[in-house]
Amino acid sequence: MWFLPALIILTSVALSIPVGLYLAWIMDGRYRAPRVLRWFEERLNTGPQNWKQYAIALMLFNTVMFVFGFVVLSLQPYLWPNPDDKKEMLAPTTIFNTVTSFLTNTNLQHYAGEVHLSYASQIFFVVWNMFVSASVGFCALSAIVRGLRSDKHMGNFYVDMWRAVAYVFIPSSLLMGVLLLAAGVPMTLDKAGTVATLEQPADATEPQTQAIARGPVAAVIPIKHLGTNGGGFFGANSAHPYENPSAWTNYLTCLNILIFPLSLVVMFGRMLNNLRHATVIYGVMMTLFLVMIGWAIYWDTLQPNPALTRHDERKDTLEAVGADGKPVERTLETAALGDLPVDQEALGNLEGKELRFGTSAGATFSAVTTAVTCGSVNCMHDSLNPLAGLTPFTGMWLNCVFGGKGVGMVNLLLYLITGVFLAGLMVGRTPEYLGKKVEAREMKLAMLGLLVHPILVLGGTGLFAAADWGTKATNNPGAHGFSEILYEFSSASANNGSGFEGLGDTWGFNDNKDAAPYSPQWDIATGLVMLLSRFMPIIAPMALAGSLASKKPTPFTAGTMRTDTLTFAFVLLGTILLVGALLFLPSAVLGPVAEHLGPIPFGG
Amino acid sequence: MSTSTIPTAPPTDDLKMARRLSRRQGLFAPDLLKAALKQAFVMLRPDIQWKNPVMFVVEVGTVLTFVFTVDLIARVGFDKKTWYLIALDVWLFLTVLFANFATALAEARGKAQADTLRKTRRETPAYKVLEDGSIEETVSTALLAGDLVAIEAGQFIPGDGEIVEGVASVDESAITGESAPVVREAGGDHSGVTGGTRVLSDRIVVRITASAGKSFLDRMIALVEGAIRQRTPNEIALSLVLAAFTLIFLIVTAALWPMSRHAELYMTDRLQSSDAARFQVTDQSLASLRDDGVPDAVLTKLTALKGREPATRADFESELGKVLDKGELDEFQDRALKATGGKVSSLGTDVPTLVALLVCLIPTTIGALLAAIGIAGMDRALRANIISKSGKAVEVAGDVDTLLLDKTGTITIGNRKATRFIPFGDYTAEALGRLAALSSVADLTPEGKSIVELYRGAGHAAVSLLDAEVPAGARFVEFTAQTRMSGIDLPDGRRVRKGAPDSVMRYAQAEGGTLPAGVQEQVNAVASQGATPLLVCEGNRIAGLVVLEDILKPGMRDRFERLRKMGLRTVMVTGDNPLTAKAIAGQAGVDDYIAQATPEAKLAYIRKEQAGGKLVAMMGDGTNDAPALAQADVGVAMNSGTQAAKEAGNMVDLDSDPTKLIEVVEIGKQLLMTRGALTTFSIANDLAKYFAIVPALFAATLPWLKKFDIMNLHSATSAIMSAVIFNALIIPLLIPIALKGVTYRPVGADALLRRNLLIWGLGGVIVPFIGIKLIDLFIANMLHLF
Repeated sequence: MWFLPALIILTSVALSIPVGLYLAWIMDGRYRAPRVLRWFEERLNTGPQNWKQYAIALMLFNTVMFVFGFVVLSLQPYLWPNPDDKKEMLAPTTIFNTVTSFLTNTNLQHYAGEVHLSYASQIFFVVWNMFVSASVGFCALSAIVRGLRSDKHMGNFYVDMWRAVAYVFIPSSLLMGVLLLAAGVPMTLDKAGTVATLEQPADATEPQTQAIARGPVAAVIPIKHLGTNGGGFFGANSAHPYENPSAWTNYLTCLNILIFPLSLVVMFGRMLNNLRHATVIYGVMMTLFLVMIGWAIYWDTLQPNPALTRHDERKDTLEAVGADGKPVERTLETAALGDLPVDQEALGNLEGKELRFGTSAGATFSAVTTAVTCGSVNCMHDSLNPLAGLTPFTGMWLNCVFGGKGVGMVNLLLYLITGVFLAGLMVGRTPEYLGKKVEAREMKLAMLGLLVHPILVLGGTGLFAAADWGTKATNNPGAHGFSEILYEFSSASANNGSGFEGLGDTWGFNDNKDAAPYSPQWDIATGLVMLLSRFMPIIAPMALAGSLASKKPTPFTAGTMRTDTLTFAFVLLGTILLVGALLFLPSAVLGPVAEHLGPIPFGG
Repeated sequence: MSTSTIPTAPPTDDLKMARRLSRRQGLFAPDLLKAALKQAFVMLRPDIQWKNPVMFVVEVGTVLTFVFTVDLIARVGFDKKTWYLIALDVWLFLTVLFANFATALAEARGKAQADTLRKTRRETPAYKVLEDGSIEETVSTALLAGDLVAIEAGQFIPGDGEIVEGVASVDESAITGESAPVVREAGGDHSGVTGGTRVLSDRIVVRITASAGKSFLDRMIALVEGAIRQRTPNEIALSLVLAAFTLIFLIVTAALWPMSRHAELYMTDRLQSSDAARFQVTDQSLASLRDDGVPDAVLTKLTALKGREPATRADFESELGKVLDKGELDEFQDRALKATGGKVSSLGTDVPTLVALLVCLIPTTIGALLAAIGIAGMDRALRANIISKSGKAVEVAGDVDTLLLDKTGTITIGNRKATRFIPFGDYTAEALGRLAALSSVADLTPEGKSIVELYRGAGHAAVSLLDAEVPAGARFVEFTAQTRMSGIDLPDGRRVRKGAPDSVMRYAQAEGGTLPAGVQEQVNAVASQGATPLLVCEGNRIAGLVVLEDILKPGMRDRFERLRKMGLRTVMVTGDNPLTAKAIAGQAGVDDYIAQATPEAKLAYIRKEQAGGKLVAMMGDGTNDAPALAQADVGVAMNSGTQAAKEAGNMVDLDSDPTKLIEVVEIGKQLLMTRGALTTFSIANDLAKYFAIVPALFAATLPWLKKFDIMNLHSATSAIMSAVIFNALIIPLLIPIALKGVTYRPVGADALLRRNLLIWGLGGVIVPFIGIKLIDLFIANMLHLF
């Protein structure tokens, strides 16, 4: 039970140190690539950029990516390879949502890969986006570190992009691809296989067949995890046996998801030449991460599924306004529920889990994938016990427990600057970070970066919760339905991309008769949320780093607040927990907590 | 220049009294409280309140709640809910008022000081010296920079200026509160006089340097009154953070409305499909159906069901089936069920309650006290008799890394004193002492006096004896910068000289004498101990050494040690030679020293430190200190110093006390700490408020959330009221801390952070849990309200 998470954490921590040092070596340009590769690097180098030029280059690149993605998906019926002959056009809002989703490294999927995307789209749209969108966060972090250490310029975006893709993601993806192929993940351009099923109805004249979707899966999966993208080849994502065949690949997958986010903290420390400071950050993140995993396993793997256990009859007193407008008390009675003959004690909640990975694999994976904004899933988050669901929620709300590629570390910097500002004042000096004074301009930018996420999550949920857009789109009534809405916006805003499921948000092909009625609203709203929450928290900290870089350094004295001590670790942890709690506590109470405490079957 | 025409102004002691009284005024003197209370109401004006965004939000919320209250009273009269809203409104209003009161109180304290100062600025007669030397009577307010005025004993000095002629003792108590008069004289570093002070003796002519209305006093008044109070950079940054938090919480609470609505909708559905449902056709439900677009024909049929109380939903459905036909039933049954079944409603969609939640969450505590903290910081400086030219200077003082401290007066007590006589050759200590004392009789420098005192104190001779021994024809030789010696030529031809060792040695050699063996070694030995050797010779014979020593102020070593822990580097500035300077620096425990300090050396040192990113504070008085004072990040000019020095620095120390520099730094640090501590406290408070309010919001819809209410509060409304009351009361309770500042301890940053985190961070999380519970117990169990 605890073996799998322990193994995952131990190996990823052990690997993160050398990999982190390697990343710093790459991003600092100390690696001399073979001549062929260097030729590209030199062509791409447009010269040193300040933060504005870097940000403009980044935005320009993303705009081109957006247009390119839109074109590829729009032309899907005409592109090769498309052996399954997917000739229908995708719905416009599905295209918009999918393009922004992959552009922003979110990989929220309002479609099912095997149904709606051709191989061409998987290769030219999905894989391409997965490589470059992951690198964008990587570049942003590198540029910000250069600002923090007061380099004369922030590097060159195109060179950083080349280094991240060519020297980091492509080699690691090739390695992982081979391992996955060996473990049984398909890699083919053949069309879906057809097999005769065992069930043959007596009156059937033709043999019953089933189509087995397949494709260049092994090309997608490594970068899907290494780049913390999370967009599955199949709708079932990492629960699908072709994406994640065995316990071994499941372990590899977790390792792939975690390795770069963990390493980036080491890279941050190495590039700043302040590994002690990075250790404090790593420690704080790891503490939160361990609590997240522990919480999920405790509430999911160690507790029975409440829908299957015995419940006594209960009476709850509600206050209502009667038809005459006067307040009245009404007693809501919930009948007793007998327990079902399912062994709950030993295995915990098995609903929605893939048993080939082990009993705690689902809970562990849910923590891993949301902590680092991967968004891949190997179990139904919808089916987690209500309180266990708090783990993925927390991961996405804080969005800095290692966090996504580069952006997680950047998000943490926003919390860190806020903590430094408050704690710095308490030692009686103008707050300083890395020897630079934190003043009005820095705080303005930090607050801007920090504000976006809660506004989009809460604003979006608020907009949909009380309207038909939300209430008519959820599979379940009550607190569980609320969680579905909340999860979708949290996932979009955190650029996570995992789904709680149970939400009608798929339009799919343009002529789909069974399109979910409010899918356009969901497509557009989450699309906009993803765009805003991707670029604001990248550009604001970049400006912040640029602003710090231009300042005169203050010397370190005994009166300076240290950022590499245990005390500071508590400051950072306290800031994250307090700010996080203040922002999301009411939502958490209305969703998972209300569902846990309420009468069963509360979620319906 | 005739002086007889100048009348003498009557002496006024009331000024001095007023000044002292204002100094002793406690935090909550009744007249201050009254003024502050009045001002608190004035500040409710939206255009003034707007300047404090956090409290402006509270004010708008109060008005919004008020509108809802009036509306409810108009609709249902006074019932339980109305009284809840009224109480809420009162406490929200009190929150704004308390905040304004805190600011007003701080301002009132400044104003009280300004008023006292203003009394000294009143129009006084002035006697302008015209070009031809005649005197013209005018008034102080008509004076321009450059005018010359004559002032006699008993008169007030009409404006800031510099003495160009004469010496006078001046009573500066109106400004400094110090009753002992000070001597001001033309030339040198003590020539500056301040308008409003009074000449006690003699007559001086002063060149006015500041035109009426622009004097130092005017600036000071404007500053303490807050009229030109500009927000400091750090205050602006903090305000931004507070505004951002306010915005975040605005979103949190605004989003809670639809979220609560979501819960109400599904709980209504759930209730109506349960056995607990009661369907009633009433006027209200019919009216709402009409609004919903249900045709009158159907409404008329439904009216027939008025007064029935079906036991279950199924019963009601069958009754509906009886009055409506099939088509109508299909179209309107759902709507009819919804309208007649009543709906679940919670405080979560009650706008005044959400306003209460918002007010509890936004950082009202620090928002209310922020301005007061800033004003109080300036005020604390003022109480320490330091006038800061801007609030920024006080804030910067907290960031200072390097302190340039004058040796004399800061590290050592006053001037050097003669402590020993070291005779050479045939001379006895007594003979040497006699020679030294004789040569110092006319030397009125502190060093000269101390030589005479040392000789006298040793019991060798009485003053009279010494005086008697000074022969009638003796001629005193004054010290000059060229000879660096002083002495006496006795009528019998003996020429006694004392002075700098090299000068005296050269003198003795020039007179044909030889140096006794070991003179240079002795001189070096004395110097290396940090003392100053003076050589005494009688003609061409070297008689011996007088040792002048600096007396270290007690406790300075510890103080420097504490400063070091705070991360401050102390640098001793002295005119001594490097050897002496090094020894004293070692004894005093300072980190560095500038020996043989010239103004240029000081300036160069400051620039060097600043180039390394350090902030430097220094104190100075002379005109030649002006460039360094201007260059330093915090330049404190002594009030006794020249006008140029006062203009160059960004603070003026009225007491002219060199140790003030350390106090200035502490005041600056305390100011920043108070802001940080109260902000942390304010935000940490929110956690408990959530635990009180969130279950209360959903008590009616999701009653099982009561388990989340770990304080076990009496009822939903009492929980909300308790949180709001706590939130309001904490403001006046923290006013004393805002005004006095949090306790400052000179320890390192880490220890300070741990301490403040525990008190204000952890304390901020825990205190409201206790406070809210106690208030709830009080209002619910003792007053039986809510």
